[in-house]
Amino acid sequence: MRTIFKIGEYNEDTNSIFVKFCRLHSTKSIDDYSGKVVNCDDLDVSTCESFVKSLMEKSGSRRITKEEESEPILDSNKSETITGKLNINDLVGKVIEANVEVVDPRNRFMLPMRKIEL
Amino acid sequence: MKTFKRYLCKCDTWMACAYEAEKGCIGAEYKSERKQIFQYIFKGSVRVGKLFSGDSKIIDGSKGKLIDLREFYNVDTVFECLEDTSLFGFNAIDDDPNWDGKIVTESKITITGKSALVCLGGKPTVNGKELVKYDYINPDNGDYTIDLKTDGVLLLFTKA
Repeated sequence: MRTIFKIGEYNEDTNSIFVKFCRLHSTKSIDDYSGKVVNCDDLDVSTCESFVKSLMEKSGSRRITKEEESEPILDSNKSETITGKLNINDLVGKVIEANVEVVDPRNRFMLPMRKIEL
Repeated sequence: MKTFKRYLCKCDTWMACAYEAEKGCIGAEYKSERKQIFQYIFKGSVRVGKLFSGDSKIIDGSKGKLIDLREFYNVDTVFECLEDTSLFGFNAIDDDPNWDGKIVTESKITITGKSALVCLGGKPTVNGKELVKYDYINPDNGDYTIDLKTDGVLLLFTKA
């Protein structure tokens, strides 16, 4: 996911920023998101790259996830979770939830074990 | 960089895992994730050891052995694949590694407690039901008739 942030204010006395986060492809303007104060003492300010990385790790990623989960779900996007034996024909026309963690950054995948009942 | 893939599946009371790794691949596992207590190597060999211990153990499953790895349960470990390697692991997920494991060779087994039967090859049958690779049964207590056919590989794990 590509994300963006916008610093609305920097308070040099407290070394803190007021910042808003959202997804790059959000259909809402970043200005319409609520912001939060982040203390830069907790961030790695040695370079731009380290600043962006530590800001996103400290609060950006969590903030975006929280914002996204609070957004309403279109009726046509309401989904169901599927488990067990697969029949692709049964899935046609259904909206099925797929957790992005299925693609695991640590190269972990589902082992196709099959339970047999005697 | 050499890569490896981990595959996982929770099977009710235990967890199955599998690794596919290239020769030379090096990895580490946190003790919080190191729940494997038995491994069956389909091919290859692996050196595994406790982190910074200096000691290591070479796991070579070329003879189709089931390897007892309970000494590494809940321990920070490092491993190195000595060949291109593919293996299956049985994981205890109930905070108790006291399971026994064996390769089934008998034509009849009796289950008297929490157990798991796992097929890792061939087409063996259990009470007439044919299994294929990665099929498993969490059997109830009782007697079971086994037919390994020509090349069936069936593992039995039993809670001690």
